[in-house]
Amino acid sequence: MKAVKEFVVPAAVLTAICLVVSAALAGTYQLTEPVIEAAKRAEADASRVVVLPGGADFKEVTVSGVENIVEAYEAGNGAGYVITGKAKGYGGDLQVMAGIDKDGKIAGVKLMDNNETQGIGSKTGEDAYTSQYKGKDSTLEGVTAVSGATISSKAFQSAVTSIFQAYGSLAGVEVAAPEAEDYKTVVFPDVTEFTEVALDGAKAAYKAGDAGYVIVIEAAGGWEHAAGPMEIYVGVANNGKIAGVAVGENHEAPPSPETAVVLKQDYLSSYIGKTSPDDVDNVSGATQTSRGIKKGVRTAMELAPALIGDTTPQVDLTVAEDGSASAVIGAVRVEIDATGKVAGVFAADETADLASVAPEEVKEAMDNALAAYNASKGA
Amino acid sequence: MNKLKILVNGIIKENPVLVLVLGTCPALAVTNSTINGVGMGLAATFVLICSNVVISLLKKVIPDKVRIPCYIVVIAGFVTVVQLMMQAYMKSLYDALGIFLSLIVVNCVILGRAEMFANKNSVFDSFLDGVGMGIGFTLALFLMGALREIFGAGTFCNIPIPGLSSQPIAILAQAPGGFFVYGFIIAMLNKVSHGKAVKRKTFDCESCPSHAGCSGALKGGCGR
Repeated sequence: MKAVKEFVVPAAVLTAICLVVSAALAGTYQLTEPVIEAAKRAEADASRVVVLPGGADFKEVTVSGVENIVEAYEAGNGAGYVITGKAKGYGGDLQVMAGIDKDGKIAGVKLMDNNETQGIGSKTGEDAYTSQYKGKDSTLEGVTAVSGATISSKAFQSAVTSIFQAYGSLAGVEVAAPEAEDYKTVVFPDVTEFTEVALDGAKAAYKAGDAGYVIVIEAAGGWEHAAGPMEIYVGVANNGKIAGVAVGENHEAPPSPETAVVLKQDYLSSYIGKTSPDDVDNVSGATQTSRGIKKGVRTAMELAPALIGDTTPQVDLTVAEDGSASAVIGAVRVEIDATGKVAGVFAADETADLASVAPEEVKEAMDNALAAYNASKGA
Repeated sequence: MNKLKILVNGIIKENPVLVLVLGTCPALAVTNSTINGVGMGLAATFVLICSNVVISLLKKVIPDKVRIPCYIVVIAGFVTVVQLMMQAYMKSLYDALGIFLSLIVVNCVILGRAEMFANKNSVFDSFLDGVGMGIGFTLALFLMGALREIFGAGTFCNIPIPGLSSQPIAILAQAPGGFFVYGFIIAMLNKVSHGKAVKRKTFDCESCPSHAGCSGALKGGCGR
C-alpha cells in the first residue's frame, strides 16, 4: 500500500490534472480559433490595401523558385502585387508584407508576424522606418537601418529583397539585386562604368573605364575579435599606383574611436599614389585594423600585374664599351657616364625640347635609368 | 486572518515586485511603456487569481511530491487560455506583449503564491490573496512603465508630453533603464517607509516578508 501512495497516486493525480487542463485548453482553442483566424484574415486583408493603396479583389498566386516567400497576392484590378516574405530576425523569423505597384516600385511595406524585441527591433514596424521604402525599386537604394536594431533591420531588408525576386518571377521581369554602397566609385570617383573582369585570388575585380582597375579583396578581419572578414576595395591606376582604397563590408566593431577613423577616407587616402602599403602609417589605437587593411592592399597589389600588366618601366638601355650608357624612357633620353652618374638628360626626340616634358616624368626617367644601369652592372 | 489584511497585504506590505522582489523578469522586460506594463500586470493578475483558486481547491488532492509540476501545469493552462483569449479579442495588446505573455508561466509571483499561500489557505482567502498580489504587481509595473515611458520616450500612454518628448532619456526605455528605474523605485520605497519595507533588524526566518505563508517557517526556517 505504501508503494501505491508513494508512486501511483502522485502520477495519477498529475496525469489527471494534465488531462483536465488539456481538455480545457482544447475547448478554449475551439472557441477562440475562428475568431483568431477571422481577425488574422481581416487584418491581412486590411493591411494588403495599406501596402498597396488602390488594390482590390486580391487573389492568391503561387510563387515558385523563390525562397523565403510566405504568400503572394495579385490585385485583381491590376494595381500590382502584395507579397509576404520572411527572413530570420533577432527573435526568429520576421515576416514583411510589401505592395509592389505595376511599375515595380514599392507602394508600401508592413511588418507582420515577428518576435523582435519590443521597443528595439519592433521599431522596424514603425512608420519612421517603413516609410523610407515607399517608391523604392528593387535596389532599395538609400534605405537605412534603425540604429540599435541592425539585425532586425537587415532581416527586414532581406525579406523585401526576397519579395522583389518573387515579384520578378510573377510579373516576368528582371529585377536588379540591391547594391550596397558602391565602393568602386569611392576609389574611382570620376568613373561611371565598371565592367567585371576575372581575377584569380580576388573576391571580384572591375575594369574602371580607362582609369585602371578595382580589385576587391576579402581580407581576414584585422581586429582580433572581428566576426568576419572585411572587404577591401583597392583602385589600381594603369601606371601601377594605388588610385584609392575603400573598406566595404566589415566587422571591425569599433572598440575605439580610432577604428572608425581608419575606415574613413581621411586615413585611406594616404594610400593614394603609393605602390605598396609599406609607407602608410598605422593608426595608433587601431593597429589591428590598420594592419588588416594593409594586408588586403598588399594582396591586391600582388594581383594587380595580372590585370594591368607589368608596370616596370620599359628602359631601352644601351651600354657603351667605356661603361657609359644611354637610356630612352618614354620621351626622355638619359645619358649616364662610366661612373654611374647622370651625365645629361635630353628629350628623346632630338627636335623636341626637354621643357615640354613634365618635370616629374624627367625625374622618374632618371631614377629608372639609373636603376636599369645599376641592374645591368650587377648582372 | 483578517480578509482585508490579506487583500492589502499584497499591495503594500508584501508587494511582490518591490518588497518580495519576485517577478522581476517581466517587471524589467515589458515596462518600457505604461500600456505594456499594465497589460502584463492584468494578464498576470488573471492567471494569478485563477491559479490561486484552483490550487487552493486541489490542495488536498495534490500529493506533496508532485505539487510543483501540478502547479506548473495549472498555471501554464491558464496562461495559454489568456493567450488565446487575448489573441482573439485584444489583438493589439497581444502583439505588444509578444513573447513575454507566454513567459507568465514562469513568473515567480504566481508560482510563489501557489507555494506560499494557496496550498494552505481557504479558497476565498487564496482568491483575495491573488487579487491583492495582482493589484500590487500591476501597480508596480504601472509605476515602472509610467516612469520609463515619461522620461525614456517623453510620452504617457503614447500621448506626447510637451517639453519631455523632444529630449527623452532614451536609455530609460531600453534594458539598462529598467534596472535603473527598478533600483530607484525600491530605494524610494525604503526612504519613504524608513527602511521598514525591506530592511530588517535580523535576517532570520521571522523577519522574512514571506514568513506568514512560508512552508519552511513551520520547520523553523528555510532548508531546515
